[in-house]
Amino acid sequence: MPNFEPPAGLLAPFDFTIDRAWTAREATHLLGRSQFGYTPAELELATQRGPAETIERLLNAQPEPVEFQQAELALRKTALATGEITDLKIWWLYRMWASANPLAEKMSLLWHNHFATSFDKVRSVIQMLNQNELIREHALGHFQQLLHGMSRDTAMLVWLDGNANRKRHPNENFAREIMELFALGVGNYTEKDIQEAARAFSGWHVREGAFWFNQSQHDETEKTVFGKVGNFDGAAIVDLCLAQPACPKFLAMKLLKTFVCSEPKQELIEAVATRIRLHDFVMLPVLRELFSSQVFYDGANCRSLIKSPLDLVVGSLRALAAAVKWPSIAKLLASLGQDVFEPPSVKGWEGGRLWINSSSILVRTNFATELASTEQLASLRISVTEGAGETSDSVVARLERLLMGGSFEGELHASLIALNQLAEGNSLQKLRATIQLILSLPEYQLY
Amino acid sequence: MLSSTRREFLQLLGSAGLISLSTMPPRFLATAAETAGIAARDKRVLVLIQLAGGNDGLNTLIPHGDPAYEKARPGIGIPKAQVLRLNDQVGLHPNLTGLRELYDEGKLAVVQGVGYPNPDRSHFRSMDIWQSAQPLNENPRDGWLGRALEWQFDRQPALAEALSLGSDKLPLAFVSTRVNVPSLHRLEDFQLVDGQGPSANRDRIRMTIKQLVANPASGELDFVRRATTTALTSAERLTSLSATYRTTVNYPSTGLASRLKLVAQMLTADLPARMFVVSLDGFDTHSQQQPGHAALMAELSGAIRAFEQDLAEHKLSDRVVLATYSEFGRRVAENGSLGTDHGAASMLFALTPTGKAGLHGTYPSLTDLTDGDLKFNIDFRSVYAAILDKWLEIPSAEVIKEVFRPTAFI
Amino acid sequence: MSHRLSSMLFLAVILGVMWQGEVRAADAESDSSLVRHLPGGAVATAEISGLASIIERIETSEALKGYLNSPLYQEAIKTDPARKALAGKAILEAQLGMNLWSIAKTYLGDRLVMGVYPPVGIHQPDGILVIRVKNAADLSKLLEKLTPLAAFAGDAVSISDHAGGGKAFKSKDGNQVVVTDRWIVASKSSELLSQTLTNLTTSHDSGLGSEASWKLMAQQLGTQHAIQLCVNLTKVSQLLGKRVVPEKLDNPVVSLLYGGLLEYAAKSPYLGMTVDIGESGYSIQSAVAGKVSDLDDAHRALVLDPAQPLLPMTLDVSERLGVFSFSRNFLKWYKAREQLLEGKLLPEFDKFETGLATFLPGKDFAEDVLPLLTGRVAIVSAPQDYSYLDGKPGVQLPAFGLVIELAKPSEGADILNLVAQTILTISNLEAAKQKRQLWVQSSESYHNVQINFARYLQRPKGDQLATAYNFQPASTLIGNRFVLSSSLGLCRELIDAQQNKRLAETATASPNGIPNVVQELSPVVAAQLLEANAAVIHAKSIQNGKTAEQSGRELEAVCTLLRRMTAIHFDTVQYADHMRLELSGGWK
Repeated sequence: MPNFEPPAGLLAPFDFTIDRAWTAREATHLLGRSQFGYTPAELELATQRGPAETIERLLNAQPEPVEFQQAELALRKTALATGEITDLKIWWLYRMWASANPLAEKMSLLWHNHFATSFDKVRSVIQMLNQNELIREHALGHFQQLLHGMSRDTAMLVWLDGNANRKRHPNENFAREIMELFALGVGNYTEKDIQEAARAFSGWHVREGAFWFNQSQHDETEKTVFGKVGNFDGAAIVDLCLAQPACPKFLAMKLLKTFVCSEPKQELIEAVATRIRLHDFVMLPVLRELFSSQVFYDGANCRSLIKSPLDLVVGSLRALAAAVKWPSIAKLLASLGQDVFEPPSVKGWEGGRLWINSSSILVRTNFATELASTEQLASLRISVTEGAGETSDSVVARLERLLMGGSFEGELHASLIALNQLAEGNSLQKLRATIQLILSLPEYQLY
Repeated sequence: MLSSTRREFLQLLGSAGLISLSTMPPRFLATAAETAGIAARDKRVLVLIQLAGGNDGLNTLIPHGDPAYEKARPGIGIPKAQVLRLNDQVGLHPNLTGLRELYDEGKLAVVQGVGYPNPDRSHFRSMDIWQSAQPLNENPRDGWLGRALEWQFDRQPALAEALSLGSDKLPLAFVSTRVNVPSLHRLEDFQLVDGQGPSANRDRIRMTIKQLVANPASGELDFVRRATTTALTSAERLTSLSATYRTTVNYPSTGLASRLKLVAQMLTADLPARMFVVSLDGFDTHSQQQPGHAALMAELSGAIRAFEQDLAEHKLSDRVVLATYSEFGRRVAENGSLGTDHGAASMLFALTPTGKAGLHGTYPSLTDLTDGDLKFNIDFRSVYAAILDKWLEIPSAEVIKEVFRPTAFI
Repeated sequence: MSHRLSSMLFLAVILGVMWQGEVRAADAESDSSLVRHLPGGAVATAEISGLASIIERIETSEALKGYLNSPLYQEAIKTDPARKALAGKAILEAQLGMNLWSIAKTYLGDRLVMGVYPPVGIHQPDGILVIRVKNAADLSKLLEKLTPLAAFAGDAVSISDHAGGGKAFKSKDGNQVVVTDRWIVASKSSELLSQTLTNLTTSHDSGLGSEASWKLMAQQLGTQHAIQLCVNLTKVSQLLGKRVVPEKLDNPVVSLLYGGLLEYAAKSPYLGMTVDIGESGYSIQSAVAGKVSDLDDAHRALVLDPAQPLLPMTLDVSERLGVFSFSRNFLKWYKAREQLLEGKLLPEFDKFETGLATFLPGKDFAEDVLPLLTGRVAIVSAPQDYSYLDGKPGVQLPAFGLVIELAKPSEGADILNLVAQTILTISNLEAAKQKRQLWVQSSESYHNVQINFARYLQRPKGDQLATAYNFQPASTLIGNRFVLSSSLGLCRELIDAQQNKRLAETATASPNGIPNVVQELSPVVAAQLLEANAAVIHAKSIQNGKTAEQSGRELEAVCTLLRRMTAIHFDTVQYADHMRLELSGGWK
């Protein structure tokens, strides 16, 4: 299909034999963006095996180890047992940290943010869990199926007042959000479209904890949406939204902002939207192209995004922690502003620069201190034994590679070496001090 | 070589305060600007006290001159003789002695008859309306101060800082779909922790970070570096201040007073936050209203009085507007269990340093009622308009999405 | 976490071993307490006797071997402090030429007594430690070993012959140890040291034994105990310059349950504690002196009248987790609250009364409600039967039953039923919010007693049901006892118990004692509950960074331990001239 070839220079595959070689730095870029950080083993493997193999590993389902399966099951069951949302948060955080399929978790977070639903109103752990599983099932799959699934998801129906949407009193909440936030974006629909679509969703209710089509409350009369006329029901509206040209562009924008850059150019959005349409809204091939593309590895786009609290915290834990005290981590993430299952509103987290304010900087700095110098959050996997008699130079180089993919420039690198040399205590304490400094750096807040 | 010279040159420019590209000047620059008298108005502060539950305005600002009052409140009315008279018509609850003093000193404004059209008597709905300033939006996503912060963030991110004190959940007023407002319970929440490593290492790490972030950069790195400088400096000031903060003011030992004291401490430490919301609960006085309401009046009055004295002592009075609000007033007529039920229009207090103290608006009639409730004559959004336009200098029309004439208390 | 658990288990092993055999009474000569040899004026003393046999039993026990071979121990000795301790042990063993067990048996096995003395003038508070060793030969051996060691220490330790015989070791910071033929005596104060040594060698009774506090304790608690502690409260109170317990308490529940005991303590010359370990159990008793007749009127609400004690109820329900039972003159306590409680609490009572007025219009709590009660109240806890569910809640909580004896049964039951109904209504509102099954009021007749209970609108189904499904509220009136329970099954059991005369009138009193508060806990049932919740406990461990395997081992160890224990009793008992807190239990 030559018509759909991506425009030259943007989505064309990045050629590591010409522009830049594949090194640990490129590996950290790919892994950092597509997972919540990376473990030392993942980094070494990706560096050795190169981009193509690494991308395939990310995209294709990997078997989960038995220990993960046991722990995941225990945590999930307990969340259902206690009915405490904190337990469900910990279940998901554990998945992000330990799953062998981190891209699925990252995409699940993207969709959780896209279809932002909060326990604060839903008040049911099982409904939140079901929604999360729905998201994970389609995380890399068909967006159409996800959108259809979401329109019948019980947590979503409770969240956006499905039961209040009645024939004689249509509630526009869901109809508005599906257009504004889930499929099209502002400016791609009219108020009239929303009013009409709301009638199509009337009678989509929750009963006994399950989706229920309440025939008696469904408006069977004719509706006009996007200029088309018919006796539409909810599913038809979802299809109409998916058929709008704005839909793939809206998704392209989401993907680019999450994985590539904070302000993607129109041309790039169009290019990705074209691929999304071409691939019939299946995310996996779109992501494959994105993670291979020139624009993804463009120097201007590397280290250009501010880490979300999850990228910062779970990423640091993947790099450094052997065992994690999850209740403290869940609390920390809430105070950093990214409390999964409880987003601030249906718009989710905007992210970017808005993650940063005086208070969150202090919490991020305190996180660095507590992770590196105490056992309150986690016990570190990192050891001093690696190469007995290590010099400050080699310790710093080792940490820089693990945490940044390579060495810092002049002054910063020198500061780290100076700290490692001058720090008090035994070599473990010196190592911890060096980690603390790196984790506190503004550079470390970017990826 | 060249790059190092260039960096030094930029640093030189920076320290001279000439880099106007930056939207978030490091602390030392702000201080320089302040001495030059530029940034002083940027440091204007708003403190809101939320009186949750629906304060009985009628027993707060008492229309003692109106015989209808006694008739409506045979059981829980405040006897005429006890009312702290402001004039022949109205006066304050006997426990509001501190507010009475502030009124006499020309610092307290009392806005009468505040409300909104088609009042809702549900706590949640009415609180949403007050906090979102969008009476017609049934699912408000953000609050009026949240939107004000967004406007500010797009222009001067350094000024878009606010704090909620002492509530578990962020008040809707502060909710923004973009700006993240932290909730603090204690001063320690805004401080650096020490960790467990050797203290010398901790100090060295902090020093190194401070040196490194002072270097200008570009893009997101520059943004984070500047934010880090501001945050670390604020935390340091707060730490040194909490050791040295002294006040001769004797704050009452109430929850509200301790929260306002925290605000005063933060203002003294020159934290970047410009907006604070604190909450006082318990105003839902359906039965046996008298003793509970009287205690709340005393808590409110004592805390505001002490706060104002503390501000004056630290020469901060000119920077602060404080206002109270509540989701609704209460019914004019008392109910059968010596209490009052959910009502509509009410009144609010404001500390104003602008010389516009005194009574504003007119007291609603006690006989010309809607469904047994007072009629409002000042829309609460006019009060917000005054705060936004005249005090914070954020265009109210953009925040409220409608034009309201600012009430004249600022 | 695992370190703490490990040390807890170790302690438990020790206790377990000690219960396996009676501690032999010390031989006749060493029978009497050494406290009488300590100089007068001590604030507190502690004495331990007959440790050798206990140590021996621990050393040879199977339980210890099991522990040492367990992975938990293997993990525990990998920690830093454990490594240091093991190194220290090796040095000591090498120097003395025997293993740690023998060292402990030889030197600590007979009698050990400590005294703490208050600061006098510019003097710091002082302490003295006296150890009596069984065999004089052992001590001379010790001296032989230690003397050359001291030479290595250079001028840090000086050795001299002590005037009263034996050798004195003196460290630079003033600590002195004197070793004679039978005694090891250590203190920082030379005065205390020499006075004690003189007393010991001349078998002289010095002041302490004749001090009022100690004498009273010895008289009320006896002196034949494995461990005995005595605190001179008169002295403590002088040193503090105020009562040891404040006049008014700031916690109403503590006041109601333990206000009487605390008031005794405020006036008692001593606080004593004894530990006894027998063939099949242990007993720890704390005592303070006093008489009911010495209390003021307000505090009498908190003790039982010795002439006509209203003894606490017993609730003999099979398979119970625990019982908490007491009796009080509630009305008297409520009316005396201004004398018994801190002023800052009083507004809360006013709020409570105001709130009650809307609930029970026209009634006064003190005048109309409290007189409906006799004063006996008990709480019983037992595992919940989940017959009302198709499945189990994910977290299994025990069921509770509150039993209130009524002076006016019908009137009292009406009011309490009203309370129960209100709770039910409020719970239903909450349940609706949480989208849980609602309760419908139902009733049944069980052995001719009517039980009101809440039935779920639909039987909840699932094996991870919400925690709220642990509750099936029920209430009933059995004779003059109103029962409010979180379980219909427990209500029925209480009726069974009544009809089989197992709801005995009162708790049985210990000899001469009147039980003031009775508490009982069954470790076996606690173990069952822990195991029923194993999945959740494992998950909580995983949440804190453990593996499923680690957490499984830990839970198993705790449950094994609990299963070996018999019921634990923790009672407050009034005696004619003192009051005791008695903790006792046993081992299977």
